[in-house]
Amino acid sequence: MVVEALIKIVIVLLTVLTAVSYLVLLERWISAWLQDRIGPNRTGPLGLFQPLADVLKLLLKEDIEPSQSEKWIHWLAPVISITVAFSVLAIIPFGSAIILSGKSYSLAIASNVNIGVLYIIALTSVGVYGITLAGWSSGSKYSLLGGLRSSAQMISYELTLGLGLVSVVMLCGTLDLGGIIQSQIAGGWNIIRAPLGFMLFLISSFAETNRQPFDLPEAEPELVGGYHTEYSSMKFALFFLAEYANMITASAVMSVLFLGGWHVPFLNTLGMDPSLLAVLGILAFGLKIFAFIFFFMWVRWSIPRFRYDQLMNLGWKVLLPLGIINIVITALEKTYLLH
Amino acid sequence: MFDIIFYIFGAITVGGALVTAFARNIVYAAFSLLFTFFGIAGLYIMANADFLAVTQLLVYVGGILILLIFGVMLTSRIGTVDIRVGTGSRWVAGIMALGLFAILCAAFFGTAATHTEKSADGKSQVVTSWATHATRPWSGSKWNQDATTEALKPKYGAPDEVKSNEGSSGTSVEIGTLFLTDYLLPFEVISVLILVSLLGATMIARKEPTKEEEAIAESVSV
Amino acid sequence: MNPNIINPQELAKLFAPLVKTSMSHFLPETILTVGFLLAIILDLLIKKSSQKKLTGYFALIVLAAAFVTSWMQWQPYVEGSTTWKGGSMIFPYMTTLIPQIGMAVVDNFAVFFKLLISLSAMLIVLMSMLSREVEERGRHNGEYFALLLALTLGMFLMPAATDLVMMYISLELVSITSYIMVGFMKENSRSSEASMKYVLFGAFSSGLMIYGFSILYGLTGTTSIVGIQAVLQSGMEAHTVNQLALWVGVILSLAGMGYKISAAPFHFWTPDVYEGAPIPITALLSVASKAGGFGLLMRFLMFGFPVDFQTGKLLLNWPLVVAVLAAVTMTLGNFAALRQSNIKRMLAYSTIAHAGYMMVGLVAVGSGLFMLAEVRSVGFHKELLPHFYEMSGMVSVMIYLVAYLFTNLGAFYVIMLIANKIGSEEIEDYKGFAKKSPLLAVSLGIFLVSLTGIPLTVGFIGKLYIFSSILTADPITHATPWVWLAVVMVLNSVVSLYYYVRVMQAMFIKQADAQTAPLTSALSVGPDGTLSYSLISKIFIFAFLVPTIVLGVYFQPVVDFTSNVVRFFSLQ
Repeated sequence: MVVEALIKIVIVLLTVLTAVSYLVLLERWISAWLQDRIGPNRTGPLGLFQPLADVLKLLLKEDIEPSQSEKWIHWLAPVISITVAFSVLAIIPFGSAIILSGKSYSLAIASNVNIGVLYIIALTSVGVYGITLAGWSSGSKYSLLGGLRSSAQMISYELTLGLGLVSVVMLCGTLDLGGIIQSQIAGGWNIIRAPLGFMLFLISSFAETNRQPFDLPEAEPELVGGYHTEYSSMKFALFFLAEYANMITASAVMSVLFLGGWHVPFLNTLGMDPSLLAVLGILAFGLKIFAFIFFFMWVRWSIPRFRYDQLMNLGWKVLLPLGIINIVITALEKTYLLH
Repeated sequence: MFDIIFYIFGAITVGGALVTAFARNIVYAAFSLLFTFFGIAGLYIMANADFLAVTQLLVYVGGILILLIFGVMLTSRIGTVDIRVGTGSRWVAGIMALGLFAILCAAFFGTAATHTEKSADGKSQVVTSWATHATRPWSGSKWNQDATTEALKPKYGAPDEVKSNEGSSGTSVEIGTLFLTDYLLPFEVISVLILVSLLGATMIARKEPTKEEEAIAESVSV
Repeated sequence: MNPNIINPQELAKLFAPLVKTSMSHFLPETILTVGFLLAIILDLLIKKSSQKKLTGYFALIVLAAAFVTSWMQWQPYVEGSTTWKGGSMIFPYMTTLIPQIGMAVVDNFAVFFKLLISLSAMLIVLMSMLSREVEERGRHNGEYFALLLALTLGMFLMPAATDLVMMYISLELVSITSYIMVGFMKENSRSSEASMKYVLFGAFSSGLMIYGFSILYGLTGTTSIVGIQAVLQSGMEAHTVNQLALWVGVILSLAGMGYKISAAPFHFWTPDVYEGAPIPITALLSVASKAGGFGLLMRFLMFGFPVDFQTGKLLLNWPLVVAVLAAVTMTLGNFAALRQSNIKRMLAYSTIAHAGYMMVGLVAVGSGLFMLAEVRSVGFHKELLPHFYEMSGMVSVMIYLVAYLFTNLGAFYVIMLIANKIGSEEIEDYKGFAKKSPLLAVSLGIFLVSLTGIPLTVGFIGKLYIFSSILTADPITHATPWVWLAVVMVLNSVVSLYYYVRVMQAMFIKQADAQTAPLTSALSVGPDGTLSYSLISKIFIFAFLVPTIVLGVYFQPVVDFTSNVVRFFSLQ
């Protein structure tokens, strides 16, 4: 049991870390494409070794510690960020259970977590600490402002995130991610059953990952670099890593909750070999995640940033009431349409 | 293995609480509370209370503590304020705390834990074990619940077996069911309580408009 | 789909009848809840702050409806009836435990408190509409009256709760609403300070209480106090209940309830909060909130830890603890009141003392239970029963609460009227007040006399019944164990006379001098130097004055009424 879990953890972490470094490259490519530039293409064939060079650069840089900083917390903040970002991956089912030599292996590090959905929300709320504490401990006003903005923003949008989730839980009747996928296989993807919930969740995911148009905590023109102004070298790299890892986890969670996870419609009617089906499932899941990530990047390079009061107005006066209305709609739908 | 993890969580909880109590810097005090909450969540999980553990994280870590830290961050130079009180009362408080600790220990070790066990012939019987040589109280057995039902039987008769949740692991289903059946009234009254708190918070925290602003607001709305 | 997930439709079908019956017994509380929500909406609809008072009238209607529906729940005891059950449990444990016990109970005991609380809440609403302090915050009058309804809901639930969870939540509903109401005048720093102190003390003591509750739950495995009693009884026989742990649990639980009634070690908040809060809220806290606290306390002690009917022994010797607390409470309150110069602070300490007197009645409740046990153990002698009911401490506490309702509310009302005009609550500034407004001075005098407990006022009746209950000899052993407590109480009453008389001396005998506060508004003074009050505010004084005097002479209805109350659920 323990060995199996450890192997899964290693595989998932390695995959995600590699993915993250190449996502940075992808982001640069996409931004170049959207701005009609070429983008990085010098390091290695097609610029494919660029991530390696980036990592080396960050590792070799001097680690500057501001004299006004709270050393302990300054050090701890990026660790919290990255830990939280990776912890969510523990309960994501990457595919249906595969059967190897008569034994069934589930493709999640911790499968059948009864409180999976709650676990995700809880970890999201812990994620605020990384950024908030980074901002505070740096001893710089830009960082502090960034940290404050981030905590206010994340707390506000967490509500909408939770309300969006409620509709999923109501439709599927379970908090277990595996169960949610099973329910979607039986009753149709949640993006169809709860489109409003999906919209709410998507928008708040942007806010929770601090991505454009919600990247106020690090808004360069106003706050220099926001909460990570005073960070350099590997600590900065950890924040960078956390941001992209968060993007991956958010995409994975959305795929599971709203797009049926590893499920591909009508595929099981073709009568294919189960192991082939499982592999296809994993690929489909990867594709869905990639689609979300592409969307994240697409939005980042095409939409301008919100003003702070607009952000708060949107969160509290538009999305929150919509979230509550969505619950009522879902309840009506569940009572009258789906029975 | 189980025991080791338990003691690790226990150490995190107590350690965090000690730092909270003795730290000179209020930020460290608030921050170490984070570890205490995490430790407690871990202990809850070990007691098979997964729902409670996550709720603990959500409410305390995601809500209460972040507000505390928020407050600390918004107060300038609060990090330099020594929050401890004078040394004289500290000794008195220490002695009183030790006394209370002794009483609680005595109460704990003198208390019997009872639970029902099925004996070989299928009859259930109440088993009493004392905390001094009890098995781990955190091992997740439904400790007093069945014994309580047994004790209530002579006076009120056997409970109606409405349903059983046998087979479902985890507590979220059970808690959800209880919220809408047994604890329906408290559950609903809490919603009134929360509404009151919201109302009060806005009433107290909101900036009062000046007389002119009020007049403008009235003339616009009429 | 996961097979373990219970179908909601199926679940609803199973429990719908239980919820339906419970809701039919829950009408007064439902009215208050709906009224609270409607008041918020009404507040949104009214834009002009001068018209926000309309919510006050609305609150009055809601409270009156709650009063009437509570009245309809009253079940007069029929002598020798076999069908009379004493009350009904509502919101029973539907899934896990025994269906006969539940979250709350509707019996005469609870109904009595509901009537008392809704009556005082109605009087408080009227008082608030005449208060200058409340009027000055006109913009927030909507919230004020809405919160008042929520507060009443909490106080309704307090004496009805039979489950630790429900008790805690109702207590918190009352506490949190009170914190807000105390800090209602937020521009006034004293009001804010009072609110802050109230929150800190309140949080601390409710923390202690919930810890005590957790110990009780750990010992017995149930949160129902009826269940706790049953488990403890069987546990005592089997010697599996640790006495020390039980004591720790009960004493910690008493902390939270003692805080609500401002009993001795938890009384520190009282003077500051009473001084800082708007006067109507002070009056509400001193009467209704205290009544709810006493209801909760009595229910907790009598349902949770009554005598064992077989052995005649108390499960826990709690009357002794309450007796010591009572003695400390009244002595502390009275001696501290001697040195006060602010009349609200003085009345605050006096309410602490009155809580002490009522706790004496609570001690008698314990000894009354002793008697009941002996009645049961020697056989059911019918002639002993009325004796028990009329002399038991329960009746005395309730009569005292009725007396206290009119007297104390009246005193606060007059102080409020005076403060409206002279803007001061210092006793120094009351000098020569009898000349400025004879009606107010005389009625305040009567209320203070009643608070002292001098014959021909209702306060005397309250004290008399407490005395007689505490000094009633056990009908079997002829022992009177609480003589010392009665002596302490008499001495305390003498002390209290001094500071009540001091106010009257200032009003009637002393002359106004240069230091006396000038009137805030010159217009309100009539040609002959008297203060002019509106007709309504004058008539309203009689709402307090008439019961104070009439019930002091003709008190049989109150006694009959309260005697009916003690025949309640499970101890009928």
